[in-house]
Amino acid sequence: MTPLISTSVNVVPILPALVLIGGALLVLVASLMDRRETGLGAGWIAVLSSLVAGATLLTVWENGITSFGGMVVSDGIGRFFSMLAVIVALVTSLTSLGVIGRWRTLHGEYHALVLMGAAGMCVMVVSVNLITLFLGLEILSLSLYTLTGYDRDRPRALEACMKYFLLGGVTSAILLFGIGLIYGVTGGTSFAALAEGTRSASGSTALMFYAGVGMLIIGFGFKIAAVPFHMWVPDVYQGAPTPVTGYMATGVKAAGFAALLRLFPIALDGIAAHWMEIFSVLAILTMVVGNVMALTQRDIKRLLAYSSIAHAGYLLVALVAAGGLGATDLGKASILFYSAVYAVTNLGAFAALCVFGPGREESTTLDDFAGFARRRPLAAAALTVFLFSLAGIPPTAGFAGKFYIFYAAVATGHVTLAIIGVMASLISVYYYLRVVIAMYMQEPLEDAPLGPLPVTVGVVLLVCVVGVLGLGVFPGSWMDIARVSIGG
Amino acid sequence: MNVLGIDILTFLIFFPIAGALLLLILPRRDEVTRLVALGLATIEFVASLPLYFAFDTTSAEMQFTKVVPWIESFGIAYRVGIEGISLFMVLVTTLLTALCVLSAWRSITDRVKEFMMMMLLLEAGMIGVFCALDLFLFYVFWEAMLIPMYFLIGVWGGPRRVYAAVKFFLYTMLGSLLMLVAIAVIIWVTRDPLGRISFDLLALYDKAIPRDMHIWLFLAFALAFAIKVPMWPFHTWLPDAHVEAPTAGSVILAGVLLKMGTYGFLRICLPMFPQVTLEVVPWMATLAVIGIIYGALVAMVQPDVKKLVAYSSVSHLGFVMLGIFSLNVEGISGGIMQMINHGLSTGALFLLVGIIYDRRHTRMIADFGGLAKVIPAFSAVFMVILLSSIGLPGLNGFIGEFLIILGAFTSPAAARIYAILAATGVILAAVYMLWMYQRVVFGEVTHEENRGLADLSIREWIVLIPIVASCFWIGLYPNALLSRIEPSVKALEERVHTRSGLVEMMEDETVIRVDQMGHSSDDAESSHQETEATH
Repeated sequence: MTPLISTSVNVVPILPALVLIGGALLVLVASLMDRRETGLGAGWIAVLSSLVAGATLLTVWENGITSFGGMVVSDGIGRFFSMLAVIVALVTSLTSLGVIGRWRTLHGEYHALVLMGAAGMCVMVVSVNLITLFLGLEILSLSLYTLTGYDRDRPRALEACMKYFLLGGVTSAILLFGIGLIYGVTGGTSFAALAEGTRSASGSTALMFYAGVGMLIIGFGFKIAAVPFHMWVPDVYQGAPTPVTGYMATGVKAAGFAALLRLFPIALDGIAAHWMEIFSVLAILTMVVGNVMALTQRDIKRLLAYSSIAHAGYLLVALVAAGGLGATDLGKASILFYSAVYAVTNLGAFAALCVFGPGREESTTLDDFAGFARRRPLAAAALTVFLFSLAGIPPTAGFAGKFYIFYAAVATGHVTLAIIGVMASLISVYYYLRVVIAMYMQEPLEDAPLGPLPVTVGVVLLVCVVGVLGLGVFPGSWMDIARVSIGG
Repeated sequence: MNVLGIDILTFLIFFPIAGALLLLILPRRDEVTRLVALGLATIEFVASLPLYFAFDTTSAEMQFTKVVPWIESFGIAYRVGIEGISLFMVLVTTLLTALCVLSAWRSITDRVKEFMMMMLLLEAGMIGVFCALDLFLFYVFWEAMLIPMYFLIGVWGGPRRVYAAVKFFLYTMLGSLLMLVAIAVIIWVTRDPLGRISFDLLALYDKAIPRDMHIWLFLAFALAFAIKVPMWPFHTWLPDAHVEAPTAGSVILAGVLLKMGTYGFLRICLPMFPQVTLEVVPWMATLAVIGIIYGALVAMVQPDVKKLVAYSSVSHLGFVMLGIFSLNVEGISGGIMQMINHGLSTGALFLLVGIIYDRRHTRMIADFGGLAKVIPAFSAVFMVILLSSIGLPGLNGFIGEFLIILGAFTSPAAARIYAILAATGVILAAVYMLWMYQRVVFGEVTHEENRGLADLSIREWIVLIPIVASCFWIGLYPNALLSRIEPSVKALEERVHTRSGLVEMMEDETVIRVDQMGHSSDDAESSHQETEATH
């Protein structure tokens, strides 16, 4: 571990974020000069920027650099999640290229916001200070509020945007208040000060300190969509443009869990017994409520929204397994691995919902997908692969991820959590199968021929299917990468 | 032994997958698809035959083994091999799949390509389950095989196919998810002092698992397997799935899938938890006998031939379970024989029901009568298969049932009453089968539509002859099978009986290990004394 206080400024930890922000600015300038309506130029610049950001992570990046007065650090976790953020942005840009053509709003800003959001994620995941963490979170959130309401002709999108903005704003305030309380007790905002606080706080300061920590849990509970902070999820996921929903479901969750991983199992390991109990309860609630609520949904986007809540529950199980005395690297590594698995799967699933092409991207009810296998056999097969992966059935990535998490839970003595987890995922099988039933076992309700499949969406589907099956059949090397990333 | 430079079991597992991918890229021409699928399934069957001839009948060890590292940080490897217990399951699978592809020639006309792909993927999954010697690999095949079966029932099934497919999927998942947790626990508690873990099934047999966990782990596995068998009272998915599935799906379900449950007991529950196995014999035997009699009684009153055959499976699988939990060589061998026999005879019964359904689009007993006069060849084959299912001497079913009842009667673990009650099941089987046969085949032709029925076509003869021939072959020369089954069964039986004694000795060790981990010495001493007192 390098010293936490350092005066040197080394941009490596935030290099991906800088590249993405640069890309965003370039997109804005380019879209000013590009007078065509299609927004293709802006989109391709966004794709390129993500690729460059990814390349810097593979080449320029080096671990072990602490920079900006100890506020950011480049380590395995940062690299892993930055890569994930870049991939999420890349896929979202590609998917969006296929569907946003018809909107009369400007496309340049859309692609710029996707990149900005990813930059926010990259800042979040390298932060070891509450202030930079908050900064990253706000960059991400503000981008998302705008993206949610981007298709401003649809009332549902506007409603989702308002709802998300108001609730998100309140949560940010709570989070900030928590940070303030922690600062008041410890006199610092670094994660090291947080660890120090668990030892020094006593009496009335202890109350303030733990209230602050509690507010952190609430704030991040909202971002990762844990029950009971999940009320916004179904409406926002349904209202947002489908590619944005995929972006939200995967990127925000991954960044949120990266922050939770740094905050709780690493910084606050001293009081693990306390937060492990809280997160155990949250995990159970999240898994059960998310899966049960998904059972009756008839809109696939809403269904996937509840499913994403449930998946936050599985990740919370991993978080519990990552803390405390009995913890091994398994729990932490399983968070990384599962975040990646979940991202690939859900990016694919939401891209598959876009296959009706421009103008039809909000046709996402089960009735719209009735007989889908006859109309779009390959896209239906791809969506089926993603759904089986979400359900955790081998040989898909979802199974490898779930096995990793539940094994970590068992290995740290949380057998009950593991049992509740697998039973919750049994419930989930039912509603994932409903989608498959609609696609394969019902006849189409409309005969209108579908337009050609947007090429970029097709590419995304192909890559995600390969990813899901590849991670499922040969998870070993990726599990090793996850383990190396957390320094084990 | 190699096929095309690949070891034979690996070839058998992955050739159907490669075949399914080949079908995927072929153009959508139904006749071509059928021919290619039949060719692939036939190659697979022919390639599996050397297993029988090259099998070493003197050895109880795993044969044709192959190990390839897979997920090394978890001690997971691709480990495959077979012995007497799994050998014939593989052969039955390859035979029935080829016959099913042929049987579906005319009855499946919608999405033929997808149907054939699912059949081939299913075959790969089933062979994988029977060959896997790695707990992780076993689980992967066990679960993955659900997907093609789900589609077979749900897409090509009868009117209530969606309900049946979902029910089948959820029931099986319920059991297997708890099994997954049990696997995780086993792997964790058997790690070595350096923290390394291994999923090597054969090595796990001999590792010490804390005694107080045995019962829970056993139950988790047993539930997964009991649902698959299915044992009473976990059988309710079976009539739905069997009746709604297309003929080929029913044949595979009855012929192979159900055996995965009984096979799981033999491969995991018995050798891994021998002492619990001994303890639960009365429970399992009771459930088995209830299954035998209940299945038979319910079968008797079915108006639908297919449903009758489905319930007869519950009854027959009860015999298999009783044989296995007799825990002696006769009983277990009989159970394995019966697994094979049931696969052949019930598979054939479903094929026959399918043949008649293709002609009349009904399966109700009341819609038939006097078929012997119209389609004599069909009726004759039906009779042979029926007698084999009932257990007539000279046909295959007799050997299995006889050994099971003998095993249960002489079992050191189970009381004789189970054998006596099971024997009544044999009589009931004769009642429901022959009564059904009488109403369908004998008497006057009661429905005019039946007068014009066509007898077996050449394709249908080709489907049925291999099964009928196998029935006679096994019935007249059972030693061909028993000589291959018995060494493995003897080894298993010895393992169960000696290990159940061993486990008790290990309890002392566990206590010692626990007090090393920091229990106060007083506690440890008293608990030590307690264990000694129990000896």
